[in-house]
Amino acid sequence: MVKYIAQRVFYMILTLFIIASLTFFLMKLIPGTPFKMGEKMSDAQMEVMLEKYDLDKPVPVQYVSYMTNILKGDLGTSFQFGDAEVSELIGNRIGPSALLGFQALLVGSLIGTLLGIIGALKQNTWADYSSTFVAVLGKSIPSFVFAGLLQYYVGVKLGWFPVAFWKGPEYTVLPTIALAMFPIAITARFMRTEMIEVLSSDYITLAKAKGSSYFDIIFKHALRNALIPVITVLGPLAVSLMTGSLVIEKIFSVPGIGEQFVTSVQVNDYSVIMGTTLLFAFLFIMIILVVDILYGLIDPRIRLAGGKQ
Amino acid sequence: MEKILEVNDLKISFHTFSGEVQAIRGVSFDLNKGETLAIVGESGSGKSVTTKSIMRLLPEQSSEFKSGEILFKGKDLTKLNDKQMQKIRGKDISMIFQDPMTSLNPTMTVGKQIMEPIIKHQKLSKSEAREKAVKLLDLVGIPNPEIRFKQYPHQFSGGMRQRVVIAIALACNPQILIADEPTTALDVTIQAQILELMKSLQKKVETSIIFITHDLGVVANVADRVAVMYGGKIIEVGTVDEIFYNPKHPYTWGLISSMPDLETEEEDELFAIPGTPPNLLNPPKGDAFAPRNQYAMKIDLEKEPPMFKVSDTHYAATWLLHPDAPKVEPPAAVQKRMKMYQEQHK
Repeated sequence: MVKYIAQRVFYMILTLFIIASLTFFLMKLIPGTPFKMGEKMSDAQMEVMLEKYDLDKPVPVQYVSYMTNILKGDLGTSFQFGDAEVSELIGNRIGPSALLGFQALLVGSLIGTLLGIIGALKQNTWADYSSTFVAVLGKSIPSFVFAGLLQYYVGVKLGWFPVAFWKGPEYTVLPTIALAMFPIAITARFMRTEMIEVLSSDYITLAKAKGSSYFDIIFKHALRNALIPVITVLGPLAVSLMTGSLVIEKIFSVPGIGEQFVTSVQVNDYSVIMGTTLLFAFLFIMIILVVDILYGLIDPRIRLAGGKQ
Repeated sequence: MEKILEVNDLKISFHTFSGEVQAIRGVSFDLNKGETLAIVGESGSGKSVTTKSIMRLLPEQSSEFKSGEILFKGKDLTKLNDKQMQKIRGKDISMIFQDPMTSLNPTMTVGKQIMEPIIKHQKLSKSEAREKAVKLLDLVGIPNPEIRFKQYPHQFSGGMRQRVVIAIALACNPQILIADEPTTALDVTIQAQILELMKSLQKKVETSIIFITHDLGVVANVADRVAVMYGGKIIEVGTVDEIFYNPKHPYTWGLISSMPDLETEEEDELFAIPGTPPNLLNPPKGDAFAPRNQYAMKIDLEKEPPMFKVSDTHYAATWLLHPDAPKVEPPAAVQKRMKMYQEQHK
């Protein structure tokens, strides 16, 4: 197991290195400089600025110096926010995004699983059709539509939860629900299909033949087996949820990272782009690791392949 | 002898896209205490459906119970609700399935799967159930039961898994054990081991067994009585001696002559029953076997034969047994076989 983890960590670092390099060179292909936006500068001023930030050097030289800095743990400073530290900028912003994403994932997968189970058990009845209906809505209607509806009906008309801003736990409720619609839909569909498949398998018949109750059959025997493919879809979804949604953050005025990332790309804020990309890549790799560990916990056959024993 | 199970005029249909398939068309049989009844017949003859319906394990959405009764010690199982049925499954009647590779839950330890019915039906504590499960593993011949208890099904071979399934089935000393082709998916040596195991366990726990198979060799080995099914009906039933030494139905003749034995030469062509089984979407009017039967008479195509009595234990549904029917001797191959069996028996 130790050997397995060590191997995984090595590949994680390698992956991060490749992603950092690729992003760096791709970013340099974007035309323009961080200084073109806003203020008008003369060519001489521009040269001074480029020189100050080493941007006049050839790209490979910049690459080497950037990578050396990263190894030292220095992500550089931002161009758009008056020389603020990138690590601090990201650190301040990732919190709300990750929290929202995590809550949405939790709510989404739980409700989705329930809907999926209901759909599978009551196949081709009104319960199944309504669960499918919810899933289709969740998948086809964009989250900002839900956001608007939630703000108007639940926030303004009913006044149950605050409509916007980021001041406490109750402020997370509406954006979480808006974000959760998609994971609900995905989980419900996958869960239903898997459940139907699992429920028709021989070991479920055997469980019935043992005299197990319906509750035991579903929650002790079927659910665990049906979860395996669902986890596979939920992994990448978790990353995209936790790295923030530009639209949802804008609508609910959440100081998240999604918005910051988009602006930094627009203004060529090289160090913020790099820092955020690296963070997203890191999160993604971590989630893949978590998913692999979860596989092992759920399915003993995969555990062995991991190199235990 | 004490009757433990009585099935009367059971009729079951499946609803498919092409229409109603009459899988079971009036099946009646009974099972005595401690005996082994073999149900034989080709694929689609209704063997598995009959036994699954005893356990009420048929898919609820597609299958329909048309009529009949299933009396377990006088209690009609078809009238029980789900809760009552759950108390019978695994406790009074349990089942062994055909494919041991898929009949165990891959994500649950073998021990837990054996403990489940023990905890549920015998109300034992976890540690007592654990002890009993380890004993059961030992009983079905699994070495190192303490270690094996904690392992998952994928760590077992096919034969070992079938032993585990048998351990689960026997966990609560059931009065009836239904074995649905328990050895079909296993290779011949393991097959013999499993059959021996079942026979010795039957003596220990005094269970009645319904043994479904299409392997007549297995039947001769394990059964006390045999029921031959064709087209959703039982067409001949008798003791194992009666079925092998004195078969009456042309379909049974066909089955017996299509079985190879040690004296079959390599160049001998093995007999095959011509034609295909009836389509139960539109069951034939007369004897379902008539179109494939070289002895078929006009009446076979028009009217279904009733069960004719051959002896107190032997019945067959063929018009050949009618007093007015012409005398027909079984084909030479069958006569040869019958003689051979009798000589072997002496």
